[in-house]
Amino acid sequence: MKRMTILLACLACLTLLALPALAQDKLYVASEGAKLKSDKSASSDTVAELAVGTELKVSGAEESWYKVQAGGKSGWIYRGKVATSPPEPSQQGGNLFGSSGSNIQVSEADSARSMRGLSEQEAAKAAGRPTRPAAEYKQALDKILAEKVDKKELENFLKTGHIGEYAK
Amino acid sequence: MKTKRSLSALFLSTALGLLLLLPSLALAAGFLDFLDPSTKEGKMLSGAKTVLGSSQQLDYKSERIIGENLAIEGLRRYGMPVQNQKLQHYVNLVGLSVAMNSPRPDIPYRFVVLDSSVQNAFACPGGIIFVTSALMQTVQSESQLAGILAHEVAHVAHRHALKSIQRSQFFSGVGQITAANMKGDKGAQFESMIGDLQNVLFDKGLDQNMEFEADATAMETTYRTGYNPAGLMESLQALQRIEASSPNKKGSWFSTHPPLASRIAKNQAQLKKYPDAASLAVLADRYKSQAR
Repeated sequence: MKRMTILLACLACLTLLALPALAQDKLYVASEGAKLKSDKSASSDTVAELAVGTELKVSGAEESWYKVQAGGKSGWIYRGKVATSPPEPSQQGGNLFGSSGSNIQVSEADSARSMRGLSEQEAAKAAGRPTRPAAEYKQALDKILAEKVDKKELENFLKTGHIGEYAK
Repeated sequence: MKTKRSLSALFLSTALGLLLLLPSLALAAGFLDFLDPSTKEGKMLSGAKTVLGSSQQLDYKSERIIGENLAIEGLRRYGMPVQNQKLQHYVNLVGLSVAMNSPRPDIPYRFVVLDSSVQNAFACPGGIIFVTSALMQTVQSESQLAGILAHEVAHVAHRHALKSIQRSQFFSGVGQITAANMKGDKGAQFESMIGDLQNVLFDKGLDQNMEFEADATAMETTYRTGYNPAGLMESLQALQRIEASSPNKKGSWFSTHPPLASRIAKNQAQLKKYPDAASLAVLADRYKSQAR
């Protein structure tokens, strides 16, 4: 009788220990470009594209994939796209692929130099580099910001490199 | 007897309950394998909690204005972008691949190779990230480049530079940078704040713990993406090999980052968390064909 009570107590403890683990059957999309796939393979059909923060109900895990339900649809998602807590809210930056021209004016491009009290010529001489007018730096920055990569191209890049969900 | 029977029934039902729980337990073990809560998501939470002061109130556009001012200074100090469109595009592809799996995947990052003999990479608030042509020569594979870029993305994601200067007078009462509030005293405070940031990014370096945090996040981010997370450590080891003979240490990773040995040791310890690391993408050949 006593042995039975101890056994029951142990089982009860085990059950209690299992409970926090059960709470983990929920995950959140934490990456841009996350896709719900029909099978645990990147080459299977895309069931849905999932936005960052989407809640996922998890029903299984195999290899590098989770079997999940999202918004009434079920499928598989690659392990690198999820987190156990929702990501911090968006900082209104648009999105990963968004682009915008420079926010600063040529006159402001000069602020860094004027603040240090060095003329461009003096600063350039000190660093042993050619002197350039402020407009050139502004143009270089605009060119940097204009560089574009689209979603499809990035996907192809990962695919040809067999990276992540595209691994062989 | 009756008690014994009811106890047996209880035992049976508990056992049955446990059996039902078993698949969930197995699933939970899977989660633990794939997702260490102390990493990306843990960092997200701790990041949100440790942002102090009013720099937290800055909106993204203002953060980007600060970043663009610093980017201009980066061009001045280190050199102009390398004139090689194929190379610049490749670095953007690698950078965006890791950025999309970083703790802050929803801002427009840009990655630029600067023509400079100094071994360095640095990140401006808002997501403009530079790597020098000298460092590109030291790096030997795409996974190593991914590690370096993920380290810089982590600085942006954790807002490390802004946290370093959060006590700057400029931030008191400023939630947004506008043409109107940049006049007069605020304009002068803005310039002073940019000066402090330059000092942090280009001369003094960020706080040592921020560097370690960026390394840890970078390893997690590259692993999530599908690159071998050892890439960052390998690039640090390559830098360590040339440290003694490197002529240009001023403004380099050698002078603005913690000693390489301590970073390598920490990365090595973290690598144990990724048992399948060696099976992930390295891509030395693609790197050599695209980046040289």
